[in-house]
Amino acid sequence: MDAPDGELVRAARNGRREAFEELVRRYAAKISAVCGSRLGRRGPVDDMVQEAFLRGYRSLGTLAEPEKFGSWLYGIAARACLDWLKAKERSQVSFEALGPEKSRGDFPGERSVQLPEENDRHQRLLDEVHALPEIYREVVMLFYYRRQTYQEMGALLELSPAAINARLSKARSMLRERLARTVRP
Amino acid sequence: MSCTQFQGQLSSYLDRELGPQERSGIEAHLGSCGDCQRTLEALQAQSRDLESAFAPLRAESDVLAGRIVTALRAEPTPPAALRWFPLAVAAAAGFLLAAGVFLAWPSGPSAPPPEQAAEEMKRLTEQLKAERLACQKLEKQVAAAGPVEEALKKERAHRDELEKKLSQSASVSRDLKAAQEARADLERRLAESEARIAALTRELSTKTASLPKPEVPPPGSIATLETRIGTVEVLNGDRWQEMAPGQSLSAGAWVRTAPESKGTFTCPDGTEVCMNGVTEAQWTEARALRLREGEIYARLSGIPKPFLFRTTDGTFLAQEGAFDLTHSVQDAPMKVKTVPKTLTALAVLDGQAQFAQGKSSQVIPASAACQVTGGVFSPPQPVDPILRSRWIHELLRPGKDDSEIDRRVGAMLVRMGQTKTPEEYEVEIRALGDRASGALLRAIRAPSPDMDAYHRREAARLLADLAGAYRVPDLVTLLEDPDREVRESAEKGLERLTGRKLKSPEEWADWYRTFGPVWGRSPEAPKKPPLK
Repeated sequence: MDAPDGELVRAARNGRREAFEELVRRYAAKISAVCGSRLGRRGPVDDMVQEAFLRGYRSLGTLAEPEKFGSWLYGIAARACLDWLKAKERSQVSFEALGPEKSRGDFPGERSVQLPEENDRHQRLLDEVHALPEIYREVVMLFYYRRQTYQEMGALLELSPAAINARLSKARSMLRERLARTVRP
Repeated sequence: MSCTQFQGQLSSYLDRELGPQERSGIEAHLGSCGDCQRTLEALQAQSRDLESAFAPLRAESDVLAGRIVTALRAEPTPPAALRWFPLAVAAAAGFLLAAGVFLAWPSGPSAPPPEQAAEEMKRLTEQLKAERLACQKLEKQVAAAGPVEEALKKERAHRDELEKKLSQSASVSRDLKAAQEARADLERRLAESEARIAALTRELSTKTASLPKPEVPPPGSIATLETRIGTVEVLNGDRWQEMAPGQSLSAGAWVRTAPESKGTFTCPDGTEVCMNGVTEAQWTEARALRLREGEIYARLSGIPKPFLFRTTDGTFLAQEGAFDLTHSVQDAPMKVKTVPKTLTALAVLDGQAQFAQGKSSQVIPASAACQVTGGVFSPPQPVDPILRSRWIHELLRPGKDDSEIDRRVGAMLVRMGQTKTPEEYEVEIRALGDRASGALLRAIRAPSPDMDAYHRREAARLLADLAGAYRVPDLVTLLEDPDREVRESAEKGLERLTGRKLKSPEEWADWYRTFGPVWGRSPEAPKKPPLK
C-alpha cells in the first residue's frame, strides 16, 4: 500500500528528501496535464512543472493540511503558469512582427526542439482537446495523462466526482461533435 | 429512465465508475437501444484514440519526474512546518523597538544634544541585538518542538495501549493456572503423537524398500517460463494455474496470459517465445506452437528442424530468425449464426517464413507481413518489424537480453534518420529507459556503417536523459568527443545526474577523480575516449 500524501509531506518536512521525490513521481503527470492545459502545446510545460515542484518544495512548511498536498500543488502550478503568461504578455511588443519562428524560443526555458509531428488523427485530436474551453480541457488532459478515478481527480481540483463526470461527459461529447464537423465540412 | 439520462452516465460506465447495480441497469438498456449502443461504441473508440494520442506525453512526464528529482537534490531541505509563534515574537519585537525609538526620541523642535543621541542609538542597537538573539532562540525552540510534539503524541498512544493491556491482564491472571495445566496436558499428548508418527514412518520405509522401484522418466521439458509481467497460467487438468518463473512445460501444455500480462519462454534449443497479453497457445511439441488467440513473438535458434506456427487459418514454417504472429477471433453477433471470423497475421523481422497452402507455399521475406483470413492469403506487405513487435520491450532485461536491446535500439536510431516521424522511435527508446543506455553509448563510440553524425548526436541527446548514475564515468569521457553537440549532451547528462554545473572537461575530470568512486565504478581514472 502506498503511503498517503500527508505522511510523505510530514516525512519531507522532517528532512527525508526521498519522501518528496515520491510525491514528484506521483504528481508529475497530473501537474504536466494541468500546465499543458493552461500553456497550450507550444508553452514551456516542462519548465513550469519543474517550477511548480520547486516552489512547492521550498514552501512545504506553509502547507497547513498535508493531506491536501495535491490540490495545494495544483494551486501553485496554476499560479506559476499564470505568472509566465503575464510575463510573456508584458514582454511581447508586437507578436505579429516576430513571426511564428522567432516567437518561439524568445522566452527563456521555452522548448527549443521542433514539436513532433504526431500522426494526423492524433494531431487533430490533440488540437481539438486544446481548443476546448479550459474547464473541459483540464479534465480531459488530467484523465488521459494519468488514468485515475473521478474521486482522485476531484481531490486535486476540489470538485465532487459527480462534477468530474459532468465535465468529462460534456468534454467528450464536444470533442465528438467537433471532430465530426472537421471530417464532414 | 430516458436515453438522455442514460447517455449522461455513459462516461462513468466507460470509465468503470459505476456500481454493479447501475452498471447492470445501463447494460440492460444498451441491449435494447441501438442509439445508446452506437454512442457508447463511438465513445470507446474516441477514448482509445485519446489514450494513444496522450501516450507519448505520458512517457515524457515520467522522464520529467526523473529530471525534477535530480534538480531538487540541489535544493536545501525544506523548513519544518511554520507556526504562529516565531512570527508573533518577531512582530512583537518589531513593535517594541519601534515604540522604544518613538518614546526615546525627544519631541519638539529642539534637537537632542549629539552625545545623548549617540548614547541612545547605542543603547537601542544593543537592545535590538538582544531582541534578535532572543527571537532566533525562540525560533529554534519552536522548530525543535515539531518532532517533540510528534514523539509526545506517540508516547501518549503507547501509554493508553499499555493501560488497556494491564486491565486485560488482571482477568488473564485468574485463568493462568488453568491454562498452564491445559498446556501441560497438550504437550504430553503431542509427544505421544510424535512417537506414533516416528514408529509408522519406520514401518512404511521398511515396507516400501522391498517394493520394485517404478521407472519414472523425468517429464520432457520443451519450454521454461523465464520472465513474466502480470499473470501467466498453465492448464492443469481442467483448471488454470498460475505459473512461476523457472516452471517448465511438457508437450501438449496449454498456456495463457491475463490482460496486460506478458511472458517469455525459453526452449532447450535456445529459441525464445514471448506471449503478449490475452494470448492462449498450446506447445504441441518441441518447435511447434498452436496459437488460439493473441500475439506471440519468437526468436528461433537455427537448427535443422523447422518451427511450426499453427492457427485455425493455416500453418507457417520457419527455420531461423524473429517472427511476430497474431491471431484474432471476432465473435459474431449473437443473433447471427455464422462461423466466427478469424484473422492471422505473420510479420517477419529477420529470416524468412513459409505459408503452406495445399501443395504450393508462399514465402514471406524479412521486414514484411502477410495476412490470412478465411483461407485467403494476402501477399506480403512491407512492415516496420521493430514497431510491430515493440510490445516485447518491457520483457527485455539488461545483461541477459543485451544483444536484442542493442539490435533494436541500433535499428531504431537508424530509422530516426530515415522517417518523417522520428518521435515514434524516440518514444520507444525512451520507454526502455536506462536499459537503452548501453546501446546508445555503443552507437556513439562505435557507430555502425549505416549511422552518421546525426545518429551519434541523437544517441547522445537520448543518453543524456536516460543514463543511470553509474554512467557518469562514460559521460565524462564523452566530454572530449570531437563533436560539439555530443559534448554538450554529455554535459547535460552529467548536470542531470550530479546536479553540478562545471565548465570544462578538465574540471569534470578533477571532480571525477575526487567523487568518482561514489558513482558505482572503481576509483580508477576515467578512460580516454576513442578519438577519431
